[in-house]
Amino acid sequence: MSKTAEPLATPLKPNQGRTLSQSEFEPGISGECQNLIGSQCKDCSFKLFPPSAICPECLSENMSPLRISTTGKLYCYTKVHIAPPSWVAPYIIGYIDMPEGVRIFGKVEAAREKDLRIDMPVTVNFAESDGQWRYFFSPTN
Amino acid sequence: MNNGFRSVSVIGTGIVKFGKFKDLPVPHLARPAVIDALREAQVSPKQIEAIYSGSAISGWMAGQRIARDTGMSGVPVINCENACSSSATAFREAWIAVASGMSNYVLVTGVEKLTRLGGGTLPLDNEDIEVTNGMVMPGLYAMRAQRYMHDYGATEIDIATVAVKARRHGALNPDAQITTETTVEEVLGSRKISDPLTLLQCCPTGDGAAALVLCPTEIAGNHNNQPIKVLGSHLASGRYLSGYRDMTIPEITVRCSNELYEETGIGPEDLDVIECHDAFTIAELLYYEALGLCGRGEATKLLHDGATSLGGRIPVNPSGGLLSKGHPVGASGAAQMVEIVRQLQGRCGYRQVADARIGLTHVTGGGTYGFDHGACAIHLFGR
Repeated sequence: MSKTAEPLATPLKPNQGRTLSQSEFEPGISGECQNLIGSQCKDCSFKLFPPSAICPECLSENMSPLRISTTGKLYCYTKVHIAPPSWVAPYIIGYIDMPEGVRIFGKVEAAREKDLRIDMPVTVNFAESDGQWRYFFSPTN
Repeated sequence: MNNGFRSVSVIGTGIVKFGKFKDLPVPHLARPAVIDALREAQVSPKQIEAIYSGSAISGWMAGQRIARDTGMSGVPVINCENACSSSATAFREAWIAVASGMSNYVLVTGVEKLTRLGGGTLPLDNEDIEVTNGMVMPGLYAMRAQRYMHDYGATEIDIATVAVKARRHGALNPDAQITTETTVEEVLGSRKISDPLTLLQCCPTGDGAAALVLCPTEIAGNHNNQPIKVLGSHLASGRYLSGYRDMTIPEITVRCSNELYEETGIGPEDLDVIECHDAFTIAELLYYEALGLCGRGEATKLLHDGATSLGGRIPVNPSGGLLSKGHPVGASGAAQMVEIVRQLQGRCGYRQVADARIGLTHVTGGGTYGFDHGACAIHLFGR
């Protein structure tokens, strides 16, 4: 049987974004994603997502997992019409401010685009395909 | 001069008309600019002691490839990459070499051949969590525009007007890629890129090159009867912030410009002409505020009052800016400097800023998650 080279990374399917690794989310009882997990440095209080074993600010290894709330504020967003490779336009991206003090970037999905408003509450959603989890945000209802 | 540095002057400039040159190898793109700069400086290639070359995506050893075709093979080359600040960084390193006494004659080049990549958005780092979640450079700037409109009541028309001014200036610059004027209607009616930015609000894809020759001020008069002094140079890197930050305040430009103003004693009120990083229309507005030309939220008024147009009190981007010239990434820093030096020498024809004595160039470089931008380089020039 012929052997083909393994790709270095899972090729992105259109608009599905990067998958979450095990350290980046907290699973619920049935294994589904419940919360994104970042890191907080116990020495200098620097917080970040995605998590890191070493603090990028002070190089401490005293990092504790930071459970990030599921609802945050949509700081800004835009509808992208010209897409990078493997993405199909248009799609919406935004920055979301989470109450824990981290700002997260992600895809934003809304049933109606005109429902989106700067500073509105948005909730993180998780989608699974091929056993991999991805996250995106949508208006909180 | 601080640090015991001696004063440095620009004695030669060269630039090619920016455009699309898919079939032109990178060294041949740069060659006319290098030859012009050497000729203007009355310096032979054999006198050049080091070449500082800025380029971001035009392949390794860009400086050596250029040197091979311009009679300077064997000369030490420092290839600099700082995304869009690559050639401004190269200039800074060249300035340090001359100012410190290490070298007398150095060449700075900036070159980029974006047409190598085809069209579309610049390819970004695919290890970056934002890039793999759909980030593109126009998207980043578009979000700044959205927030600025929200916070200060600026309109899409206000932002589009930056492109109208840029193109009005660019129409007077034979070296610009686009030399036709445009209207607010045409700008807003152009293809959507990332809301609210449309195609004509984004710098066009293109290729280009520019070059400068530096030497100590004390011997500059032997080479050029109008040498232009480097009054200041500053380079900053973006601060990594994972939390909330005001995206309408470009912190790296605020920090870099404040530090340079303090270091040199020259302030925004002393400036006669500016070339700043107008990769997208919104960028220029944010930079008016970040460079201290006006207060928070006042940028659109400054624009509409004509203050930053030719004939106004502080013309910004008389060359037409990146919006008219295009933004061959590694070439832009050097190209801005060529424009400012020539403005101070009174050589800019219909786009001449009257009695320009002190000029500023400003570029920012690249994006990566958690940063305003990766790099920022600001320089001051004076007669």
